[in-house]
Amino acid sequence: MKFCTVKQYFDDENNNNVTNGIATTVIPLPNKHLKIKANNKEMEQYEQELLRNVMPQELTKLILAANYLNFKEALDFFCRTVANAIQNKSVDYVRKFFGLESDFEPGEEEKLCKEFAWSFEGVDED
Amino acid sequence: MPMPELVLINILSRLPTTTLLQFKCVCKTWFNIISDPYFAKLHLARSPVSLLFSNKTNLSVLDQRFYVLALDGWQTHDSFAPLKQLPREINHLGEVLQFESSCNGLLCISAVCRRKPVTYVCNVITGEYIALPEPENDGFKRRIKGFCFSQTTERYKVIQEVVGDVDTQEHEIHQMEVCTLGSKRWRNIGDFPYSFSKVEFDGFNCSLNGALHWLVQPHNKTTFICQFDIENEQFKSFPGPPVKNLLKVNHMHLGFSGGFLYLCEKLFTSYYYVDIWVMKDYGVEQSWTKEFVIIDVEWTNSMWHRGPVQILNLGLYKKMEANAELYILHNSELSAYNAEGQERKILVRGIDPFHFVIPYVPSLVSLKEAVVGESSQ
Repeated sequence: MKFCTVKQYFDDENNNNVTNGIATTVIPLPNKHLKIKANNKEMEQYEQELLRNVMPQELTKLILAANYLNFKEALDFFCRTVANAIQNKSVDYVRKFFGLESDFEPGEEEKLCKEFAWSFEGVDED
Repeated sequence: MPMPELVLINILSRLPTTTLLQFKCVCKTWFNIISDPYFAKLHLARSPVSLLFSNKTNLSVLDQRFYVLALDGWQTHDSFAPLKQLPREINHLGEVLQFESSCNGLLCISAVCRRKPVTYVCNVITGEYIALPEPENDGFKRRIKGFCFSQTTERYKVIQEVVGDVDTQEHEIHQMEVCTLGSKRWRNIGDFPYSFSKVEFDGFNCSLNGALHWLVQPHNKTTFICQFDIENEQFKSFPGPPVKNLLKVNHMHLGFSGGFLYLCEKLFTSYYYVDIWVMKDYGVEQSWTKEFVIIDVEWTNSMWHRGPVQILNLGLYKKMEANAELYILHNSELSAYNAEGQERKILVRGIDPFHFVIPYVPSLVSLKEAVVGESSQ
């Protein structure tokens, strides 16, 4: 059963990782998944909807929830969604998305960017 | 909220190679993950087939530019624009470059450098390359036959055939040599127990389940495929499909896609038909099934010596539903065939017919990691 950790989650009051709002999105997922598993187009639409309605921060929380609940299908689905979302974006966009900061020395980052300058062509606008 | 590393790896391993190279700049954690050899392997295992192509007809022309085209959204596209240009020049490797084989995103290329033949293994994405040791100076020519990866030793191997003069007898015994990437010499592994088929029948690399596979001249009327075990370096006959008449073969190509071995064959007697057999169960002779028949006048009259027939999506095709299409690369042209055998040409802007095109999985595999011993940038 996929939800052995759910009971544990509800019992664990010190859990700060997952808010109730997130849980209500993740938990109905299996049913949705089973219904539209065979149909790729619907999954794509669901994915698009999710991306539109859910802010990046929420998406990362969804991932953490799925990870905590040990729910592999949801985790893979969300990771795939995130990967598609950041695929053609700039380095700065990605940093904002995940709330990261560059921890390179000033010269280092420039050197790296130069080395792979050719791969930066065709990146989406932020 | 920091992302657990495993989750981050899950996300990053789904991104295309070029994106990953950019994202090395995001922060040190990402740099370390993306540079990790284990991650390169994971990413490679997840990567779909792409196309590597050049805007010239062969590799020996100067100003060679490589492009990588990720094959995505097949059903909706009738044409693609090349996605990323790789400014990786390999002209400095020598003259008269010839592509031999590819494995895990690494290319094996033979060249002539200062009038001596040299073989290179390179990764056009990372820009690394390494020259293989010179063969023995015994006056014999060599011909690269395979490039593969040994799972047990985690090393790459290149196999070549020692050929005699141009006008040797057809059934003369040829010796085979193997070089493990990183070692300083070629090892002679003895006689090749068969004769290789005509050069036009050569596929690029039929490495599957720890073995290489080649088409050979019919032996004992039934054997026409030879298997080479990459680990123990032994040759064996391998069962082929029940082709109607081995003596009347016009063209034949052996390839693999999506974990399946396939054979394309056209007999002199089958005017417009090209049969494609798929070995559904590796090693099981009865599992060879005639899965597709291509009825295409243009195809059957085309110049097959310009390159093997390559099926690109056999694994996916088998899993897909009705209206699924089979994608075939032949003579630098991309076509999609549906169940009725109808063809849809797919245009890639920037590729003309007869440009150098190969199916390819761009990888982050580092040559430094692949080699114990010398390596050069």
